Amino acid sequence: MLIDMNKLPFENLKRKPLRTTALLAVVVVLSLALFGGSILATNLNTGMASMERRLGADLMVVPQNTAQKAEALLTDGSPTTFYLTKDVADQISQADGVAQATQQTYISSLAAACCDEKLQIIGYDPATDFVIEPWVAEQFDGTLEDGQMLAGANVNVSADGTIELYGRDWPVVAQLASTGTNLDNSVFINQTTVPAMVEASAKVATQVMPEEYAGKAVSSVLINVAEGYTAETVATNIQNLDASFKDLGFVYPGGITATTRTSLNTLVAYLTLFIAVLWVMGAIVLIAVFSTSANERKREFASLRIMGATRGMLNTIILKESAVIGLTGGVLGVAVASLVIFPFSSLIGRQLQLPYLQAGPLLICGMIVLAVASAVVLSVVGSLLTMWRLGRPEAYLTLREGE
Amino acid sequence: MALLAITDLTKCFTRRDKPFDAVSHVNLMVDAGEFVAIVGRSGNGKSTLINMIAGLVRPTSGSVTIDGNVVADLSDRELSLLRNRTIGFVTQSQTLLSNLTVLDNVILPATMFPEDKAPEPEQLIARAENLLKQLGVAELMESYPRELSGGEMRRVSIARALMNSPKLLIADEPTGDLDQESTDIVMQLLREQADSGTAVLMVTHDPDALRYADNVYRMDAGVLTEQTGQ
Repeated sequence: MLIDMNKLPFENLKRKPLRTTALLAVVVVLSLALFGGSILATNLNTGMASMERRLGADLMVVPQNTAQKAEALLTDGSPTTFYLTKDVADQISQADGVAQATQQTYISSLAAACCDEKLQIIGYDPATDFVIEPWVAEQFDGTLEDGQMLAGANVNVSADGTIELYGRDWPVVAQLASTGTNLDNSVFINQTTVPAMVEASAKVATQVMPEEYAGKAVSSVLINVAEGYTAETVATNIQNLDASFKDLGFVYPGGITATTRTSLNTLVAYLTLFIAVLWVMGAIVLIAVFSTSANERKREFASLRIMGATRGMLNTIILKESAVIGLTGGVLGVAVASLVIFPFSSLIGRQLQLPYLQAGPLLICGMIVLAVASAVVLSVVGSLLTMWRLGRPEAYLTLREGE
Repeated sequence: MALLAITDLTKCFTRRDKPFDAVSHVNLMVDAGEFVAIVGRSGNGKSTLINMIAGLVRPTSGSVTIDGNVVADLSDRELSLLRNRTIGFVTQSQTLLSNLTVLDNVILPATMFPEDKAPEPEQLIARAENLLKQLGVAELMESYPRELSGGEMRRVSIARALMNSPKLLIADEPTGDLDQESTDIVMQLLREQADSGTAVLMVTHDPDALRYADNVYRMDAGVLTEQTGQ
């Protein structure tokens, strides 16, 4: 193949491996930071939005000293077991200002075959539930029968559609969409299945709760308050129902959401600042390197001008070289970031201790295009100064300095 | 009509706020097939003159006409095309592209402005090889410029300048780095170019090179005068 002006930029890049590699390295780091940071921030926001949708209650009433465990259950804590009795739960449900109330029972399993870690078993009452059912409805529109299970997104269901738990195979009727919260490591059963689960646990391991409580254990009462009431007012009303209710735990999901949102916003702000600083520094480095190499290349450009190259041809050479570096560096940066972020998504989520939910493929494709395009644009912008200098009238006088 | 017509050409520079003429009111006609040499001490405006002829430096006044084209009136593209197709330029210093082989350096001017009736690649390669052979550097075709001596680079530059069969060949000190044998080869080649119809304008310090020229001019303090007695 004969050399021509189209191939010249590629020859220039090929024959200057050190300079090309150095420029590529800068662009790779910038593209990696932009794409990695954007994915991270998006996944955190997606996780947060999912968590906000899942915490559809104004108030959560739990036994004494278990409020923290309950909060952890909603975000990213370890599976847990705590309970009060159904008669107490029923009284709570009758308090002034309660518009809707439903009861849930939480049981922490032993490590099971289905899962890397302990499993959170959540018993809920489909008849009164207003928290889980709207979410479940996206994947399952039937009725959850006794002994059946709904599995969270991270739970491994056997090929035959069951989960082995406490030596028994439990049929799974649906697997739920990922939420980015601890609910993904949970299985859901109806309240009437709870005694069967307790009984099964007694046969193979330490019983999860005394048998006499199996039929009346309630871990939390989830409440939506009536219009004109605040969650705090209703909590006070509940405490006033009985002297023994003074020590009950009260969790305000809206508050948890707000706290988590604050942590997330802080993290995203730092991340954005870090990426912005990195990009400004990267842009300066690229401009400096392009500009320095342009000085070194005055002789080369003078030579091309003498041979008959137009100013446009010289600009095209610089533009192509910078665009190729931007494109290659951008793609490499996205590839490296993807190798880290996608396979280790759940680990990242755990380490951050924030709701973390992988964004959809369309959004990811958009971010790939954005990261690569930004890398190309930055590289081209970095070379604009050089092009401007070459485009000045009497450029040859400057170019001749290279002779 | 002369292939190269220079009329009252002046280039004025300013040094320490004082203007001076690097090239002063120069008139010169070079016909096709004529070999003109310009001699003179360094800093007397020879390079400025040939840079103005090639349209690389804009004159303060006067005009340069090449093959019927007034250089100052041409757009960047027209001027670039003129440099590529009508002018062959051998510079005083090394201006080979370091990232290309010797062969690619010589071929590049021929592929710079693609044409509908462009020669086949094989023809271009054959022409480049032939030029390099005539200049005695054919064995260096696959080498890169950094592997060449100063004299070899100069000869490759001449081959590059001749690649598009220019009507006007401008050579700034073409024998500057060459030994006697190479000087003879280069000057013989330039003479042959002139004999075959190319107008050759050479700037030189080398007295041995002058005998190949048809006319010799002297440049002194920017003023060009015809030298008699050659």
